[in-house]
Amino acid sequence: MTESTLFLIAFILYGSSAAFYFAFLFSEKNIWAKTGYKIIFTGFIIHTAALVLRTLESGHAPFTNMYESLSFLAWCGAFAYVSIEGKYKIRKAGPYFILIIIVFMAIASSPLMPKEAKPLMPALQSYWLWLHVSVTLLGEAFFAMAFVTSIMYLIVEPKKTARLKQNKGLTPERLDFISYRCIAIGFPLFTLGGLIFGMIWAYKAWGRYWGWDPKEVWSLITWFVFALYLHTRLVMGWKGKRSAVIAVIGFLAAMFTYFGVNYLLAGLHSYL
Amino acid sequence: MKSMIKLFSSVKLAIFLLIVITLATILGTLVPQGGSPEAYKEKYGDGAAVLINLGITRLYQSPWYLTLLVLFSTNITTCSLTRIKPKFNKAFKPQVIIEEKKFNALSLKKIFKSHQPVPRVKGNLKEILKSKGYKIREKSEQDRVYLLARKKFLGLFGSDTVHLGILIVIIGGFISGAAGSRDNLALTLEETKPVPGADFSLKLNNFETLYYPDGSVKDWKSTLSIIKNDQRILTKTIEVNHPLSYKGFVFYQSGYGWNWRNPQVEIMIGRKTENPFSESVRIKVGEKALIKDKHIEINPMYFVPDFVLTEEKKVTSRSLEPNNPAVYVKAIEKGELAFSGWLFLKYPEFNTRDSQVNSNLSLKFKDFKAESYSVIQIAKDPGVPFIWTGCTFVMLGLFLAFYYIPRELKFMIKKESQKTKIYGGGIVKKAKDSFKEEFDQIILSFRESK
Repeated sequence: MTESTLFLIAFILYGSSAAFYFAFLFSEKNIWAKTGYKIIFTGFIIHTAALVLRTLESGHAPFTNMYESLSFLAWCGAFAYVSIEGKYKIRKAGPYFILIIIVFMAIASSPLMPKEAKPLMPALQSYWLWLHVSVTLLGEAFFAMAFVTSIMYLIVEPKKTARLKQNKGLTPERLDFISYRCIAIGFPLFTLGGLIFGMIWAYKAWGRYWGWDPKEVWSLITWFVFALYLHTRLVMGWKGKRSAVIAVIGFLAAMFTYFGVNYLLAGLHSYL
Repeated sequence: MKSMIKLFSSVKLAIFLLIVITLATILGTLVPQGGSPEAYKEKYGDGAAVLINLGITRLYQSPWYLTLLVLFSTNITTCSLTRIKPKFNKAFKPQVIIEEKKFNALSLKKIFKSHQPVPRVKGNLKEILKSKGYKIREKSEQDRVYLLARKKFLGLFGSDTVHLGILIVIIGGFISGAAGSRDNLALTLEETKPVPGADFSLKLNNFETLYYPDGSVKDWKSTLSIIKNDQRILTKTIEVNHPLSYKGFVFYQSGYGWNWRNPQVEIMIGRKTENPFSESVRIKVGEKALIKDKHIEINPMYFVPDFVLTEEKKVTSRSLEPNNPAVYVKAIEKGELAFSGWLFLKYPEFNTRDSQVNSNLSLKFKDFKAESYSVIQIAKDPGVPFIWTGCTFVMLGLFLAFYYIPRELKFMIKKESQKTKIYGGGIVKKAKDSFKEEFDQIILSFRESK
């Protein structure tokens, strides 16, 4: 079994899981959602095997180019969903969130992404690569989760009265609460992995902990947006719509940091 | 003064500043930072002067951006300070006594009766609460006893700890900006140079570049010695990601290169009719070597490490890496030009020679030796300890704020006719479900107690 085969199997499983979850949305039969959950869980396990195999083959962390890091981000997404669904039962958010995982997997497998494992350039040879990237992307996966529940909130909330009864398990209040919980997990992870571990590594590799490199600046901007989310919510009591809008902006900022900066702004992080 | 404190303790101001700082920070990524005035002139035309004068081309160092940071720091400090006193009182001088009717307002409550006498109820409750990790304060008043059970109350200070951390990070940043320095020192082998601003020197003992099998660079390693008063104090091999620290200075492997001005080349000499080459000579570029018995004079005139022809058919070097080393050689035999042309180290089949020259002399470029140097970045940054301290506080504070949520339960136990009446309850702000579960368990455990 090669890494690319395992990756493909995981991709197919994520796709089928989404299909089952959509079937659940329309049929409202729990069995579909339960099966969907089992499938995404299996996909997650197989994806884990793919990442382990990749690590063994290349001899370095499985996130040193865009293909690897997207695959890892999708894996973090699967982890986030499996754990949040396990704890909070948010089946109705399942199909939409798995779609995001599928988007990451699809971009990763696009022919534009070079897939061969290359030897690591000197600056990347550090255990901080593991710590910095894995913790940051895990944090971003939880931001993605909050993004989905926030978007759902913004769609469901205006129709509140009409559809409240149908939406038994996932009322707007519940969506709002789950967005907050996901950010409460994602924000400390992103602070630790993205900013603090990033600073420590930059200090070790480049001799400065902060250099206003575009990627650094955009992680700071992302951090500001989520700080705004927390303060408006916890101190000023904003909830619901305005909170959801900030959570959406925060995730878009995170994605711009992750993706956009590489292609639109030049900087030291240009290798990834 | 009072109105200033009021202004700076406002969360609205904090949010306003946070939004302004975010927008300003974004602006800095839209305009390239730290370029030359000419470059801006070329890109923005007449707008360049405006950008430069407003400090947008060095935005993160500009007075107005730094002012925003100072205002923000003042704001979060004042916010935390004005809110900390009530928190301290709540944490260290808590109210143990609670009025009967206030129990009704608590979000978590249970009012029930027990056959146990008041002291036994108190003892049992205290034991159960202690087993759940609660710290207990009590007060007695005539016929009734009050219990205040709390745990994790350090969680109250989560946000203050984060703010303190951010403040320390910002202070560290200002110190780095004001007192930090960075220099590059290029050292060739065995060379010793004084470290700027220090009373010691740095010597490069050894330098090597390690390659992967595919030819890409794996690592650079420099063996450095700290020299003070002609004494070797310490020696360490540094590489990328593994710098050397000494007395507040940190030495990084930041670059490398070769001195291409006059490398030594090895040229093999032979005849077209003979094979193999019979002789070789080592000589520096720009110098001449005479092979006496054959009356041949070899003169390597130019050297390029990475040969490439421009569109105008001019020779130049594509890079400073020895990817395609080539040397232009002239040879004179018995007073006549016997060879002139480019010799390639890696591709001898592409060697050129002047077609006008009629000689059977054959030359081959065999090897070269150039002096390599290592570039060491020397950083001195007294702000760094502040940054790590601040980051530690930020993480500790985030943990406290999100995952160390204070719990507080109040009880009142009083005698009522032949029975004992118990009021219990608490306020839930975060993590409702698990707190409620714990509270129910406590009540259940009590009912089972004897």
